[in-house]
Amino acid sequence: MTTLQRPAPAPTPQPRRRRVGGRGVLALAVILVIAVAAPLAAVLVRAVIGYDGSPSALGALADADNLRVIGNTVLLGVLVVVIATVMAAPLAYLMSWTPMRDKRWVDVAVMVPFMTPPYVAALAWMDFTRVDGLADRWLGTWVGDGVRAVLNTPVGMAAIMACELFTFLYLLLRNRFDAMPASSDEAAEVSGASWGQRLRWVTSPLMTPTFALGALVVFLRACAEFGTPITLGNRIGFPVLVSEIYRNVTIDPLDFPRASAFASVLLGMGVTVWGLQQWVARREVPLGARTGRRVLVRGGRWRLVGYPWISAVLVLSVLVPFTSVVLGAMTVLRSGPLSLDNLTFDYFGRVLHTGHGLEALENSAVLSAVAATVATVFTLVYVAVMSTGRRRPAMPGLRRVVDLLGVAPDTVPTIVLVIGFIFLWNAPWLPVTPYNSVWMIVLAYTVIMLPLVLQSIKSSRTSFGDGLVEASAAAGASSWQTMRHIVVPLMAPGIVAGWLLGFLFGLREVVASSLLRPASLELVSPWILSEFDQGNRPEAMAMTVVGVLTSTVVLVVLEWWRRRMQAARSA
Amino acid sequence: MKLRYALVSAIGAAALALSACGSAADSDTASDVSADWTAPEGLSGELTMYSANPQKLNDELTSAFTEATGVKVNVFGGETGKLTAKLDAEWANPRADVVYLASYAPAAKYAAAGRTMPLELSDPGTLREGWTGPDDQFVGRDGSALALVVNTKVAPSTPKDWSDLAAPEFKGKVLMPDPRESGTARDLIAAMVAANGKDKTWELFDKLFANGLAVQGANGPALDDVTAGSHAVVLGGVDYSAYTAIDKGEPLQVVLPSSGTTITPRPVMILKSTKNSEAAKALVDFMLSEKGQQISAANKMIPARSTVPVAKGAQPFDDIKQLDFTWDEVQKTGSDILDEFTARYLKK
Repeated sequence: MTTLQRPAPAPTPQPRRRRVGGRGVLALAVILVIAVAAPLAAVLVRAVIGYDGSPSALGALADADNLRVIGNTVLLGVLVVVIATVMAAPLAYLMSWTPMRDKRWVDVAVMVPFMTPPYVAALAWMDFTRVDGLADRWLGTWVGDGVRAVLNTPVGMAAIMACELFTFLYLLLRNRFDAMPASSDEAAEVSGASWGQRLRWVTSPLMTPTFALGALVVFLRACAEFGTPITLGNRIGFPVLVSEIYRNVTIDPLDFPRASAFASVLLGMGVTVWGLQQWVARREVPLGARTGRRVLVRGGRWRLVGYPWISAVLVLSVLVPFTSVVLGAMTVLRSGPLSLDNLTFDYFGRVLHTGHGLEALENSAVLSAVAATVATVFTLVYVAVMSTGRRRPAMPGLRRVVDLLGVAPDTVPTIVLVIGFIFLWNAPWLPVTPYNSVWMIVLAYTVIMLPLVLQSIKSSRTSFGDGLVEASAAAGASSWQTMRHIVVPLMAPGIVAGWLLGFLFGLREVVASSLLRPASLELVSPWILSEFDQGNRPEAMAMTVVGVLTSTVVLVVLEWWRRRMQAARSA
Repeated sequence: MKLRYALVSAIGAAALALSACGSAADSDTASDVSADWTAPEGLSGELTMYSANPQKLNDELTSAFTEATGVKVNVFGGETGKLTAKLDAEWANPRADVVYLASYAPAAKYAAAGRTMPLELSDPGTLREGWTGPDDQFVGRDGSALALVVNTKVAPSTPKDWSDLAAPEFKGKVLMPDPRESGTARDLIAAMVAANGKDKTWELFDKLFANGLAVQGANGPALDDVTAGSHAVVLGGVDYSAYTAIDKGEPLQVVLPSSGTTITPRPVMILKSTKNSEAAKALVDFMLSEKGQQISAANKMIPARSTVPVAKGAQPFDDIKQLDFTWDEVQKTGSDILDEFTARYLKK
């Protein structure tokens, strides 16, 4: 079974003068090397030495075609970051600093794209804008043609991906805005600083590290997500690294060395962007330990922009794709008109009763919950170990490695990691292996969702300074006691949010679910994909709706709990 | 607050459900299977099958086999490309016992690499000619024909042959599954080249692409697009999914081109590494038995046994004109021809 579930030993308290936290860091490093570095190494080795008789393909990377693919990837990533920022930043501001923050349903609504399997959004948009599709019928052929023309460009592709990825950025930014005490902004205002000056000198410096982190996540996910590239991207002839890798590992003739070579490029890109983010965020700006009053911007101006903005974002990211999905799930005859006679709820009943639909949903939910819990526990240990002895860290080099390995699963396309898992865990010399059991899925989900959980929980740790921790230590508490009574309660909302993100992410995960699941273990995403590929569109869409509704219930319950916890804290 | 909203929407949804008048048709195939199969004695354990087939077909085959033998069959379903990727990644330590694909080429490749074991075929005389691999390493246990799948509501007329789609009335109305994704589409192009030569084949496609032929997606999504009416004809669509859609009531028609097409045998094989070869052999024997073949026919596949008729409404094997080629040729040239096709038409 996975080594991940074994929590690393908590570092024992030691005299202040010595470098501390060494053993914990070492334990983290060992776990991460086995879970993350080894599968990546298995892929890199094959990039260099080839696979099964075929030679290395690293040399071919400089071909004009391949350079174009690399260029496309960077372009797409940048476009997605720009569009996601435009969508997320104002929304985060509105939902944190204006009275709009009481509209909790917005937070649920923006999670919907995040809960939808990535290829479904692309399929929904393609269906919405197809010739004689809903856009043509409802908005007239002129508008329909226009929307279609925009969609069939790299910008359209980036917009669809941004609709799904902006949630990451939004959540990070909103939490940071939430944590920012009103005093910092108000002090500047009282001193006579203009709106622009405050943005330039107060808000921006406080937000930059968080934004850099969010942009990194969005950029790398945009480079690593294959749902939209293999559907829309292939159709408009816009190859990116991940669609090329997908082609090389799933379509005959298979070319593992080429896939490995492309994967190495992505890994290199990931490490570069990560380095850049580290540089931008090199000075962490703690917001102070006092749980300050939250900022509230009154006055009517935000209303003029606020409501139209939220509406536009939600129409693009939720309303349009989901209209298409829900109608798809209810249409009796695909060729028929959009009338009541041609709509039915039968497919919902069918996916939940016959076949393996319900079983798939149960399996996915249980496995995602287990993996999210493992990832959360691991992250808590991680945070405890990594924040011990910040002043005089033991093994600073190893800490960097641990830091990098924690985000590494986000720097490679999941499919590469998954192929690495197969190479590594299916090696015949292994005495025991989780391969071909549900534990393989748990391990894979845990590794894939780790960066997400880690970033969410880490950012909730950085939102309060070391003051309280040091005070606790000075009062004679052991680091375990400090963790238990100071750090965890302060971080609780972040922990819940991290677990939730992990859970929702696991529920919609498609690559590892498709390639690593043992025979006869049905999971939601592969089930939807295979129904769609077999031409059972209504069943596929009905299952999507059921999956999103299930996620929404979990989300609403946990959000309610998180809010209550937060309210209790600030009371 | 939230609870009340949820309650209200649940009641709303229930009310809507009651008021909607449509309903989805369900298909039932059990009545089409009449034959019986006697299982060999003494089988036990489990089997793992990787299968690139409709889930319903997998379920019906394996549940009938399990009922007769007590051997549980774990099915890992997926497209041929995904399964071959998994198989290739696992060659060091294979997990599958039986593999059932939708394309001939990978089966031939695995057989040539010595990764399969010879099958014991009973009554080989009634199996289709040319569907069995060298030394009985694999066998096409059912097949599907590639056709022109026409949406009769959208198509200006009913085409008879590939070249009819180059007519001006079909401009921008024809869709072909992407041969880079669909193994059957790739095989079709290679078979056309084998039968008619490169010049004639490229001449046909030059005309088709000049007429706005769209290339996108795998077989399922291509059919979905035509059913929805965005295009009028699938060029080289698999027949069985079209027949299934017709049963549901979609206005589709399956036209077998007059100049000839391909009937792709869907090969089954046993991996040499299997630890339960007796059960694996029994499963293959069952799949080739009259009962197994009837289950395929009920799922609109073309049976491998010439003694078993196709489903009602489907075109029988003998009525389909095939291009003049062999699967070995297609398997050898397929990859190069695809590269040339991609370079000619799909590089933008």
